[in-house]
Amino acid sequence: MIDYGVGPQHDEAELIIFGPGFGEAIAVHLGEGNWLLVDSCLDEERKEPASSRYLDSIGVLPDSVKTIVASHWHDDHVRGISKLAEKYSAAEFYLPAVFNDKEGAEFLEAYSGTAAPQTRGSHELFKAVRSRAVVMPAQARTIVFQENLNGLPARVVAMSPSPAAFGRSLAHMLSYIPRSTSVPINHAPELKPNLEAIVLHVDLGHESLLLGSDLEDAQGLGWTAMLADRICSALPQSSVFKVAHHGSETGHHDGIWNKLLQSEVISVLTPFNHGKHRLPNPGDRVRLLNRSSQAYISSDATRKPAMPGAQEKRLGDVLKNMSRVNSGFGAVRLRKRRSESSWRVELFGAAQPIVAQAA
Amino acid sequence: MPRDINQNFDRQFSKTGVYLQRDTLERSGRYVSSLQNSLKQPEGSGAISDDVNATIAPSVGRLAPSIEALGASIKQHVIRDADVQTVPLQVWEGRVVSVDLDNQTMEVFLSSTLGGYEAHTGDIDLQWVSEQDKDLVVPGAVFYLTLFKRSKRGTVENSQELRFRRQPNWTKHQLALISKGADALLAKMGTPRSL
Repeated sequence: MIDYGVGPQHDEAELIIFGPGFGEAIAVHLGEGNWLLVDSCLDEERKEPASSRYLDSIGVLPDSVKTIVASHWHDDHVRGISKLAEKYSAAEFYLPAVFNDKEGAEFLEAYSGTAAPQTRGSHELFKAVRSRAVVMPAQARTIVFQENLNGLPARVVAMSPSPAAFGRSLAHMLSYIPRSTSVPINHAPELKPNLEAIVLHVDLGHESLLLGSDLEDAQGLGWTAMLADRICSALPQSSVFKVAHHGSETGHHDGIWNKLLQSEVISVLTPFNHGKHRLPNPGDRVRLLNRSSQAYISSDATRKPAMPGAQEKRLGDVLKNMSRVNSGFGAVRLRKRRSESSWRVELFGAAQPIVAQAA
Repeated sequence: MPRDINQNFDRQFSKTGVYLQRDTLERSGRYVSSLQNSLKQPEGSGAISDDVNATIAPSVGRLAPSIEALGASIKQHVIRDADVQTVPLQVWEGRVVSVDLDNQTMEVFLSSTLGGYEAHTGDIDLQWVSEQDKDLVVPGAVFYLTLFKRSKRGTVENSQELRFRRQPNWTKHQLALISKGADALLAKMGTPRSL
């Protein structure tokens, strides 16, 4: 079990990102004991939400969590999020505004739990919504947290999805809503590229963080649309970047680095190991190292199959290019007090600095 | 009383990916009677399903043998049923991540349901998918992969079965629930602040 030590000081900003190889969760100390949780993944040991295990371990009481954001409904971002919604009942719960529409709500309902559960991600989100009396829809420019904390204004704003991306997501969902008993129960694939994820800008008065979720860029939507938004693109530049979409090329846009981030930025990210899709790839690592003053990944250990040799060989008769999903659980934590000039970085479990890899 | 397992026969074939309609068998002439005779077993003489599955799938499915060859194969193995022990070693619930038709592979995510292994990912050749399941191979589809060890008179060999979960059509009740549930969800939506 990881020993995370003690919690942050009341005036200490903190970002901690958890990732086991398939999954991502973020906790942010906004100051004065107020916490923001973004997405959810499970820790390897007890299969409990990593962020709630962390907050318990450092003595944070449930009422201190003010806001929970489900940035999108994909499996690797919502595992255990229904437990967060239940445990932190005083927090406001935000989900993509696409579900604040009849068709979006029908999509969630159809593939969630009441009718015919098919997609684990939407099922988690459905359970979270069901447990709440009120849920809040978020899209570009939505304020998900705003308080004056001991003299400093703290504000968290959604920078995406844009209205156009919102419409595209809705069209995708609409195509999977069943209207007739003559069609079989189908599966609801994820929208690719991901233009629907909620990116967050965290402004703590003395520091800003950019949490990139899984937002990608295509067809003038995603990052391009955000950078074209005069309000979002004018928010204070961030000194910490939770890299979008696990560092992939599709989540990259020069404008992120040139307009939204400070020149000396610390990048943190989680990996994504899923079949042939293993992020970040060697090219992504080089790009991140070139753009960042420091770069860290929550988990970067082996992806070799984890089973006895004979059983691995047996499975290998059918399964090619085999790799384990979880490359070890880890967390990257950044802390900074108001009086300090730079972030302190701590690595837990399988977390490591990003290094270049042979292609 | 002998147990006529013709009905079971159809079902077992469909499980293996070498689905044969009963009328196809009946059109096949002299082999029908020999198959039927060979498949009449005394009550309680042992299940044939594992043996037949292990024997004819997936190799027979890929080779598309004549019905004569199938009949001979089934007859042979059913007769020796009592000698065969089939033990599942690994059972995985899989989900299709993507399908690569150019390379005839599907990228999958496997969760262990027997064996207690960690989740793994990789690629499976579409040749392992039975013909009747081919239409189900889409991203998000769920399947079950079972790896067996099969012992027969001191000889041990491997076999496997890959089956997709086939869903029924939506029902009127489900469609009504979707609309009603969506309305309930919308009623929970608050009004956020914005810049």
